[in-house]
Amino acid sequence: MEFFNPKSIKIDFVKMFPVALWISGLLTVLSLISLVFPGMNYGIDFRGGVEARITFNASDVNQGELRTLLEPHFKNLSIVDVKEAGKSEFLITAQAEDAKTVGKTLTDTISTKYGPQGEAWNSSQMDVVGPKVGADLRKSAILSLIYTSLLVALYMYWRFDMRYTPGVLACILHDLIMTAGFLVLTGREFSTTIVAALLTLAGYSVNDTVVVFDRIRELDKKYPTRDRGLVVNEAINSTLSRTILTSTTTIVSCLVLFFVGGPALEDFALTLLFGIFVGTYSSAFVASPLYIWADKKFFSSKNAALAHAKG
Amino acid sequence: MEKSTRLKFLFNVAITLATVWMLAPTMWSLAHPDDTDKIPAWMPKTAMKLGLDLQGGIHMVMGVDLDKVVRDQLASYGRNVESAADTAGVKGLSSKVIDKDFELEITAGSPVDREKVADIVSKDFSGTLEFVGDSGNIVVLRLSRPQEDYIRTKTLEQSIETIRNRIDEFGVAEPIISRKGDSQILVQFPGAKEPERLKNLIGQTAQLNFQIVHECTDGACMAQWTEKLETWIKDAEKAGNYQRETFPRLSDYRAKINTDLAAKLPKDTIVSFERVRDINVNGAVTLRPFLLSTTALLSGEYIENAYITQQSRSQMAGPEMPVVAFQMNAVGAPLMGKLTGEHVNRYMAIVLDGIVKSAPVINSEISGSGIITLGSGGFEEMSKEAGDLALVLRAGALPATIEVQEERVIGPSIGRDAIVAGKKALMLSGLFVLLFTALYYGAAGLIAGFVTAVNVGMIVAFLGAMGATLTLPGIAGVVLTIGMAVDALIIIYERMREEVRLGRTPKQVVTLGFENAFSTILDSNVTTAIGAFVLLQYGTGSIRGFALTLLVGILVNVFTATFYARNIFETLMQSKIIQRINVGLGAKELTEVHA
Repeated sequence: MEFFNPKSIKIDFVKMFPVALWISGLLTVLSLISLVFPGMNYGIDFRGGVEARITFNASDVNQGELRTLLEPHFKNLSIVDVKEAGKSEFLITAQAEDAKTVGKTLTDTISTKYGPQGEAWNSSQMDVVGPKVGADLRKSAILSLIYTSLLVALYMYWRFDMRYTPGVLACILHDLIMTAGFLVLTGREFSTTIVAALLTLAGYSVNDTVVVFDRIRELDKKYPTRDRGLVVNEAINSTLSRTILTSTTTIVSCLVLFFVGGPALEDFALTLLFGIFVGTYSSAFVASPLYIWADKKFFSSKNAALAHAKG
Repeated sequence: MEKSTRLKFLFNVAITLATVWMLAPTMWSLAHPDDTDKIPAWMPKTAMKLGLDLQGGIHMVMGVDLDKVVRDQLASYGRNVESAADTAGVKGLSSKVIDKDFELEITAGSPVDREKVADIVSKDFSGTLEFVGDSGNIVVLRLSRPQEDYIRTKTLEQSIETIRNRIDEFGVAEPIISRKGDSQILVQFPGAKEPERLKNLIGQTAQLNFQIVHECTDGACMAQWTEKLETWIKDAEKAGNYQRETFPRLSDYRAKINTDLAAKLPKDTIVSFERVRDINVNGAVTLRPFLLSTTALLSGEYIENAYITQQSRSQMAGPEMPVVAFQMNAVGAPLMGKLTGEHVNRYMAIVLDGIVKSAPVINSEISGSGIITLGSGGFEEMSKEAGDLALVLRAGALPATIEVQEERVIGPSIGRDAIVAGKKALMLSGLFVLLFTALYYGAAGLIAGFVTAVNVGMIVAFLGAMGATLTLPGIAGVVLTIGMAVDALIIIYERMREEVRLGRTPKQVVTLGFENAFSTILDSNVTTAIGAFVLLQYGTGSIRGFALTLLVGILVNVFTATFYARNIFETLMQSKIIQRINVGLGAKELTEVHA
């Protein structure tokens, strides 16, 4: 069985580059803006506070009532109704002045109205995070992203050459920013799990770009003076089969995680899903055009010399 | 078959068997999550531990206030310098700690005296104190670098040890206690059943001190002072427009009171509160102020042992209530003897993290042991409180104040749900990959399915052998790795198809396919590995589990795709059973050419 016979596919990708770059540029800028306004929805991992999953034995607990009860004691209160058959279950996120007692404040406040914990209600999960942890986390998240980008660029420079590095770097940045924008758009909560997903994404996106670049390098060795546009087109076309197949298998893995993995993995799977699409797109439409540009910029004299030498 | 190929085949078989063997315990754990400590003895010790999010449990990160310890040390050295100077005939010194800069300021009576003080410091305190500067009557000192580092490291280690002691006493299975950064402690209790009590116990870790109550030798004096302090406090509250409720933490309220009353308080004293439970009104707690000496005190670190016993509250009969008896160690006994001996008939407050627990009269010198009576309450309640207090004393008071910065309590039901979800995800994605590769790549696809299964098995076996912990993100990592493992094989197979189209012989197809795909596989996996590696450095908790899974997964992927799978192909090709391995191109595939 096969879907793509490389010999029979001849899509002219290079022609689409200018349009693609414009679209990418626009979306990237929009994403960047969205990071500040409206801004990311930071979870308690970054902001500190309490996050608890509360299940009431009574099935008719009113969310509005709960909010009125809790509002005076907390800042940034968020109550999400997690629908479970027969029971009332809520995911409550909030912050308070004193990080140390915020968890206790929550349980006490609920107890005064609904009855004691363990009898009238239960918490199947409760996380309390102090503010210092959030600051540390932010720092390490940013550092991780920077280090990954730098190391990958360095590796590319070592294994390939100067022409390939800008493409890879741009690819990583593009994918990360777009995905972050997507997360803001869908109102997803930014947590440590998402940071892990983003870093995985960075690696995966580069993975994909490397496959295309590897083919370009191989063709470059064979035809060092051929027009770059032709080389790039052939490279992308011949790896198309593999790219689509791999993306498909990984996407299916993510879909499985999204639907079956439970609430803890939902955000993670969604981030990766979007990221894989963007990553695949960017390998062809962001990294490759930049390769052509870099080639002109750094190697044009070399190419001219070679062409001249060949006579 | 060539000899080398036969060897490679045997190697493959050996690896496969070893993998299955090492995998057994982990499979067992996943099937029996509540009995992870009952793994059959004949299985190797390579089970993956189940993380908190799969087992349920408690995760806490605690910060140790090392800065305060350094300041306390400075204050203590200040007192030492004063007494050394006193012995040398230099009187009238006063020392003060400048909190912000971690410096010690010693004020002498005159510049001449100041010189003498400087001499004393450089003679007797050369290793521990160093000069910052001096002018007029003041000498400014700080702890020497080695001394400060020593104190910080030692305090953190001691704190960890003390917590470890307490946890061991509590009997939690396999707690994980480790140092995090330069002033934090990470504590994890898998499967802990009583999160609240455990949390309170650890959260209660505090500094223990025995402090002499100011001046009083009888009840009347105590009552007088209580009234005086209460009046002062009320005035200060009115003047500053605040109350107890304004401060969520008692320690902040206490600090404010002491600042406001500083002018009125006698020299070297401090106000502390006792929490008095009103037996008649349920839940009502009032604060009773005490005036404690800041010089006549002894740290609780010298306690050897503490246990519950029962005795009546008053001298005459009355119901027997639980109390805590304690014993000092060899170093502490004479110190306690000196403290109590010098203050017979005075009251000695037992202060836990700035809160007075009890203030018994010193009837006579106590050197070896003493009794702490608690407040009041129901018998069972007091038993628990006494038991917990004894535990705190017994496992040693902490040398520094500890604050819980992060705590996560995960109920067991969440853990069970997570395991079910994880298993489902794993099976579904595995099944899909298997079906897909078989359909798309024909016979080669079946091989791919088998290789992928062994691949995943190897990853889990490795992680188990490394003692890694399986978390839900870790399972996600494995699911992801399945997708990526197939990627490597896809790269190879696509390459092989190209070679087929170019008209190569079956043997060439295999060889060239693997060889040409190698560099692509290497580069693409290395770059993903970089991301995983960085994540491993900076991630915490379950994220590290994910990063580790990814990293190990990548390594195994590359090995399987380039070596293990290749061995299978070469073996089959040379076994004369199969002439050509179908790569799924169907009728379009070229006619066979014998090797």
